Amino acid sequence: MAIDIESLPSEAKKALQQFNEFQLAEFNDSGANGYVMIGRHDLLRKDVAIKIYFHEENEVDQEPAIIATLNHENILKVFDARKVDECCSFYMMQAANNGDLFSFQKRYHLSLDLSYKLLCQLLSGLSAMHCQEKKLVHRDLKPENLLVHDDKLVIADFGSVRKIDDATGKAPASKHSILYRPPEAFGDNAFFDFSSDVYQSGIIGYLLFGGSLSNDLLSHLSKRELKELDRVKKTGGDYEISKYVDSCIEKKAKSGKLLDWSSIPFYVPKKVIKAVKKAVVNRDKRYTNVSEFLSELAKVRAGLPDWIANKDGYQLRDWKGNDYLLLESGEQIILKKRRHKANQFRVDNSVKAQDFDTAHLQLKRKVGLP
Amino acid sequence: MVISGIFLKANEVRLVTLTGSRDTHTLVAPKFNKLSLPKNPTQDDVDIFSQAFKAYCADNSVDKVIINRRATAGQGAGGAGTFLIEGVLLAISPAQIEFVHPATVRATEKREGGKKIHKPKTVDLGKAYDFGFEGLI
Repeated sequence: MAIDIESLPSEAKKALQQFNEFQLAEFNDSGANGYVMIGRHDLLRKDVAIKIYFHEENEVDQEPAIIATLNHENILKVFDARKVDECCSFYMMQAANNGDLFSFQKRYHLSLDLSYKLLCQLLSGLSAMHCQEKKLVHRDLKPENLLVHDDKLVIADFGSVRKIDDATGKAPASKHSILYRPPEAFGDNAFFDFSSDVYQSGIIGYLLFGGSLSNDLLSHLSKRELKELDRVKKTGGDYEISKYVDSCIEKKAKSGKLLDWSSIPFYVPKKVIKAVKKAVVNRDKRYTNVSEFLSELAKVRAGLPDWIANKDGYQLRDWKGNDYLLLESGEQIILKKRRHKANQFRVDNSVKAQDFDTAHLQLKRKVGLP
Repeated sequence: MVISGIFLKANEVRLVTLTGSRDTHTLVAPKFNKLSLPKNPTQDDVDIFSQAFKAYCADNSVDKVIINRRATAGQGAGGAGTFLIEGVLLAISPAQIEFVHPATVRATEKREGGKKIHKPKTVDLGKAYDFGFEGLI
C-alpha cells in the first residue's frame, strides 16, 4: 500500500525532499526518539533505511559518525548523513530485510544452530567496537536494537555508544532498558565497561536460546513487592512508583534472579547454557571481554545438535544422518524418525514418555546427544 | 608490540600473548589460551573459529602472530588438523603471521632461556610462550 507522504511528520517530509532518489515503502514511528523510513534507493539500487532522530540544538551528534568509523559485517553500514534542522538530523543506512531481532524471534522459530550463529555474530560485531583503537561500548544492546538481514545479525542504534576512558577503563552507565542493565550500572558509582556489553550479549544469548524475559516490568515483581507497590501507589506519584519498580528490578539483577534459566527449552545442551550463564553473572566472575565469551562458545560448538521447535513438535535435524521429531500424540510424547531429507517420518517405538524432558532423555541415551 | 605465540596441536590452538621486550615482558589475557576447531569442520565451524580468533586479536591489539613451522615430512610431520588450522589462520588473521622453526626456539632457549620468567608450566602453553618470545625484541 502506498504511503501518503502528506500525512508524514514534517521532519520526515523535509528529509524526503533532500533525497529525491529515495522511494518510500514503509514508515515506522515506534522508536523512542525519531522515525525510520524504509525504501528503495534508485541510484544505489538497494533497499535502504533512513533514520530521523532528534537532538539538542546545535549538538554535534555522534551516531552516524561512530557508525562510519566501524567497518564490520555485523555492524550497520551508513551511506549518508544530513541535518533536517538545528534539532533534527537523519542518516541513511542499510535496510535489514528481517527487521529487528525482537520481531524476527516473534515471527520465526529459530533453530539452535541459527541462535548460536546469531550470538557469535553479535559478539564478533562487538569486538570491532571494543578493539583498542576504538574502545567503544554500545550500552544498549537488546533485541530491538539488533537487526537481522538474510540470517545475519547487524548491530544497530548507536545513540548510547560511549568511549571507554583510558585512565579508568570505564564509561558512564546508561539508564536505558533496565532489564538489560548489568549490576554494575546501578547505584551511585554506576559505570559501564566492556564486560557490561558482554552481560547484555549474555541476556540476548539467553533469549536466542529460548529463555523468556517479559518486557512487562511488573511481572518480575514478587507477591510481596506487588503488595508494597500498591502501598506506594496510594502515597506516591508516577516517579515514586517507577523508582520502586526499578529498585525491585535492580535487586533481581544484582542477585542474578532476573533470568529464569528453566524456561530454556529442554534440547539446549547444558554446556551451551553454562557458557551463556557465565556472561550474565556478577562482574568479577563474568567474561572480561567478548573474545573470552566467543572462545567458550567455540569450545561448546563441537557436536551441537540442530534442534528446532516447529508447529508439529521439536525436530532434530541431521543427527548422524537421521532427522528425529518429538511430538505430542494423545497423552504421550512419541518419537518419529526418517533419513535426513527423506519425505516421511515413521514412528520409532523406542521413545515414549509423559513429557518432553523425559522423552528427550530417552532420545539422548539412544542416539548419543550431548 | 603485542605478540601472540601459537602452538598448533591436533585440532587445537594454544595461545600465549606477550607484550614488552625479551628482558621485561608480561602476559596478556592469560585466561584465554585455547581455541579449537572441531574435527571435520563445516563452513560454520570455521566461521565461529575465525570470529573468535579475530575478536581475540582485536581485544588484545595483537600486532604479530608467531606459529610453529610444521614439519611436512618425516616422523614428526604435522597431521591434517594442524594443517587445516594453519590454513585458516593464514587466511583470516588480522595480524601479520610469521613462522618459526622449533630449532630456532631451541637456540633461543640456550642463549636467553633465563629471561623466560613467565613461561607457563604446562608443556603446550610453554611451547606457545616460546613462540611468542621469539617475536619479542
